[in-house]
Amino acid sequence: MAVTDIKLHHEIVVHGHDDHHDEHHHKESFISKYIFSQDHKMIAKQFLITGIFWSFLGVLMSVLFRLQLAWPGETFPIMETLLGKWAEGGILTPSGYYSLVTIHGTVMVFFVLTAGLSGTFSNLLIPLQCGARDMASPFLNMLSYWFFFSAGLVMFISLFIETGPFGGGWTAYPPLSALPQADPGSGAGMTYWILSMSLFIISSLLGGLNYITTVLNMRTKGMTMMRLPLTIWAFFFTAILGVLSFPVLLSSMILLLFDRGMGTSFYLSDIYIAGAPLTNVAGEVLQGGSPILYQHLFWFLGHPEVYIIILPAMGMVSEILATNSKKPIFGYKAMVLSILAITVLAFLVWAHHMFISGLNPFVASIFVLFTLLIAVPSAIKVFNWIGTIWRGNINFTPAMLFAIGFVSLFISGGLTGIFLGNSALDITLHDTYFVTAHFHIVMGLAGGFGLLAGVYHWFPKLFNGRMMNNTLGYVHFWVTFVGSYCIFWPMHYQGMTGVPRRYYSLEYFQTFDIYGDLKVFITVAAIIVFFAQFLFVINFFYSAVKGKKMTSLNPWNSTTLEWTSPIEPGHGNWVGPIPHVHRWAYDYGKDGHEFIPQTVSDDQMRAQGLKVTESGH
Amino acid sequence: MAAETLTKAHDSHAAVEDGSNWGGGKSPFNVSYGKLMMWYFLVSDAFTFSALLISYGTLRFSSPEWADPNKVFNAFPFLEGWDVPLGFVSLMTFILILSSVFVVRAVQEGHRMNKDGVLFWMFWGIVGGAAFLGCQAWEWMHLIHGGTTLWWNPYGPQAFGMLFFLITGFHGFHVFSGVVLNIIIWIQASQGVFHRRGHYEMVEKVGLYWHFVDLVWVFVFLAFYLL
Amino acid sequence: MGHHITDEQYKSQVSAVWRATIWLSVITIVEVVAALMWMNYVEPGTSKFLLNGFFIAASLLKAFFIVGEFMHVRYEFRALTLTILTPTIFLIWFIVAFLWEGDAWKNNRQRWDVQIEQGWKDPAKIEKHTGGHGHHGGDDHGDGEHH
Repeated sequence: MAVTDIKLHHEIVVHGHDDHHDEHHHKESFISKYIFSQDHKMIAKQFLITGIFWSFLGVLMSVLFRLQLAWPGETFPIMETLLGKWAEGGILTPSGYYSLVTIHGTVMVFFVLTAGLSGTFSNLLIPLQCGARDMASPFLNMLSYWFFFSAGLVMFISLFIETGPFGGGWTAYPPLSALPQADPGSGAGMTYWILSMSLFIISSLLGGLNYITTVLNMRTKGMTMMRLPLTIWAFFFTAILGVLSFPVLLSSMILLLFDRGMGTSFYLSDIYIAGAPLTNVAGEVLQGGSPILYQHLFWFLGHPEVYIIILPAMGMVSEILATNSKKPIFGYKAMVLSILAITVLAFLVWAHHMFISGLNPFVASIFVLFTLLIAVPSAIKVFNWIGTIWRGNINFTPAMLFAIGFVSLFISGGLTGIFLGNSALDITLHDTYFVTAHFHIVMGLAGGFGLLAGVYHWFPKLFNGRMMNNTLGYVHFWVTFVGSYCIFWPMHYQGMTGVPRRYYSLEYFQTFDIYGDLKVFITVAAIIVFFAQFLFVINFFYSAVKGKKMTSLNPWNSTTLEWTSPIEPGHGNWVGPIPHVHRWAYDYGKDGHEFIPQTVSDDQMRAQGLKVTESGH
Repeated sequence: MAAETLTKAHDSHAAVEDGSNWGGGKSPFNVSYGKLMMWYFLVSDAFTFSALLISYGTLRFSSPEWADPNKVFNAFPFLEGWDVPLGFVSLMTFILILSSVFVVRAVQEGHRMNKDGVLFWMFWGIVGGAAFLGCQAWEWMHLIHGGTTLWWNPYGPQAFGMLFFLITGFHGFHVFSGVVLNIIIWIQASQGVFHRRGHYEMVEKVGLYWHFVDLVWVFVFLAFYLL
Repeated sequence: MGHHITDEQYKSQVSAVWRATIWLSVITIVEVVAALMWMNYVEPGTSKFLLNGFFIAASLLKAFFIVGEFMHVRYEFRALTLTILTPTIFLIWFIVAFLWEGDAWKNNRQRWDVQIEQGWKDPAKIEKHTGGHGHHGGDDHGDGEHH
């Protein structure tokens, strides 16, 4: 059967329209090709490699503070080597601990799982899977990367300043973030943090506008919205989420800057330091503001932000599961609608992060209702993924394993979300490791698994047809998958008994001595998982240069358009006309064909004497 | 029967591919990507302003008292000692509306490829924007001299002064950047850049931004001067 | 787009814009007049609920003219209009939840009996904050003091 399909793929002349082709085939200099590139594929690689750099730093930070949590008071010379005065004598200082946690959170959420995930794959796949030569505005797309790069640069510099980086948590709640005198890291470190975030917001806006416009305006002929692969739907709604929610973060940052620099009190009210009320330059007691206002504004972004992380992973997982099971995605329309529902609900549920902030409990009750509604589209997606691989002819590539791992993590992490969505339960669980476990599994790990699945799957499209090593991929998957559960599963038990998160050390609570060994277990698992990632990094960079070249255009026998572009696509993606699309993205196993590419029309199949049944797609 | 269903289905396919705006190969809205991006940028910016104005509302709701706009905004340049509640701000509003209209006229002349018309109306649009900024500067100076600052004001809670300066300032910053964009467009138009290009779409895109600034003012006016 | 339009279309478009201008001006004048009448003729302390409702409705009408006529949305494809306007639905719950919260903070503050300093009512403070400049503005801000 596969033989017919490959023949089908290669011999059928693809009809296309030839608007503005060949215009990109001029010679490019090193700088315009590799640095200030306007080619979406190069920009995707830039996002990915910058993301890998930041994930290395971010995960390393978590290993360092896990060492402190497992063996408080123990000396680790490596700590002093890496952190200098923040770990004098090899013992992490409290300020150092809080800065590590803060920067770990910021970096992982924004730089790795937003820019590294949606930045990479939206850039790579939107033009390729929609059938466009490039993004709507390649120039703004390039700026999007360089704003992200600058945001990273500013954050990186903040690690080395005298007073250290910000240490008030990645959510930057005032007054810790608003009063420079609150903590060493609240001084210059926080100013850098705000600057970095503002640059990141601009980057995300430029990227998001491009993604939306490209999906709407630049689809190739025949590519109706309902023929788009689910990846594109996911990136599309991710971009919408970003474009609508990041500006709210910008507003909150503006107010925060004024509170820090201009002596206003948007987020501050009746602050007493050593018994004396804090006054502004006019000698007035700071009044009228509320720190909860910041939390509302922050989470109005912050909640959509977690979907900005998870939606691209969901889209890619849907695509990878269908391709590698050789079955059409189960319930395509339901999948699209559930992405839409998640997007809408994303804007209605932000305050479930604030149940213990002093939020009005009557407002909270409405937020509970909206929050629990999210379980519906999430469950639809989970059942459809399982329906997709059910009795499929599964090809267990590393990408497929990571995609299945994603589904597993999403279920485990999602279920605890139902606990936390109830304000009554959340009040006891919120400040414990239960929440740490929940969001790491459902957002951090699931997002990360989606990212890794995507890298393994689309690696040949990123690096000129080279493939990653499978054996290393399998080892990487199993160690990461088992190790991740070992890190975060026990945290649920800790959390249920009330072990508080955000604490530098738990030695003062004798109750929690029972967890002495468990803390060590978690830390050891974290260290193992950290080192397992080097398998991936080595595999990634080695394969990018020396990996086995794929022999056919379409190594995974996939239907989507990116596999019709040349093995080494130039700027402009297709030589000659852009292919037209004649069917939806999931014709797997139809009429006994293993797969039918989107570019093949029914007429062409009939002309070849192949069996055809019409479908509505 | 099978053959019949086949043709039928095939026809519907053809309809999908050629008849609908959403069939791909062209913009479903019949607009260029640039205009579309400007539109979505404005939607995004609307959320920036919404967040600020909603913060204003929240802090105002949380305050037992608030300043009375009729008492705060009752001065008029050159009319010292007069009590003209909302007089000056009405003038400012009118200036901004007119400026917006002038830019619409410039866009319309652009559709007719009438370069002189574009230059004429754009010029008055720029003058209107600059006049608005001047008015705002006077109003700010007047309030600051009267003791209203980011930290204190004689009319009510601290939050009133800080929110007023922050939000009108942020709006003023948008007006300022709009004026700069309009000037750039005016210069480009005068050099015949758009005429050679064959369309004045740039005027349209910058015009959208300019109207958006006017739109925001409607709600700033509502929040600070009317409610 | 760089399409050329007929004289008739041009004329109707121009008059439509001026019509919208007149509408905007009239609505603004009515709003200001309503505010002034309220100030002068209605007993202080009366609930402004209805008046504020009118202000909000009038502002939305003004927004309709600006977006529809000036920004040309009335003449765009319906689908484009929808993509632009649908996201504003999110503002509804954004506004409701935030204002509800603000109101709750006010109640909390009163319940906890936090003394909110009424410093702005003190005439001595005005002198302190204007630093003697207060009278150069030549304005009549005195209402605030005796209020």
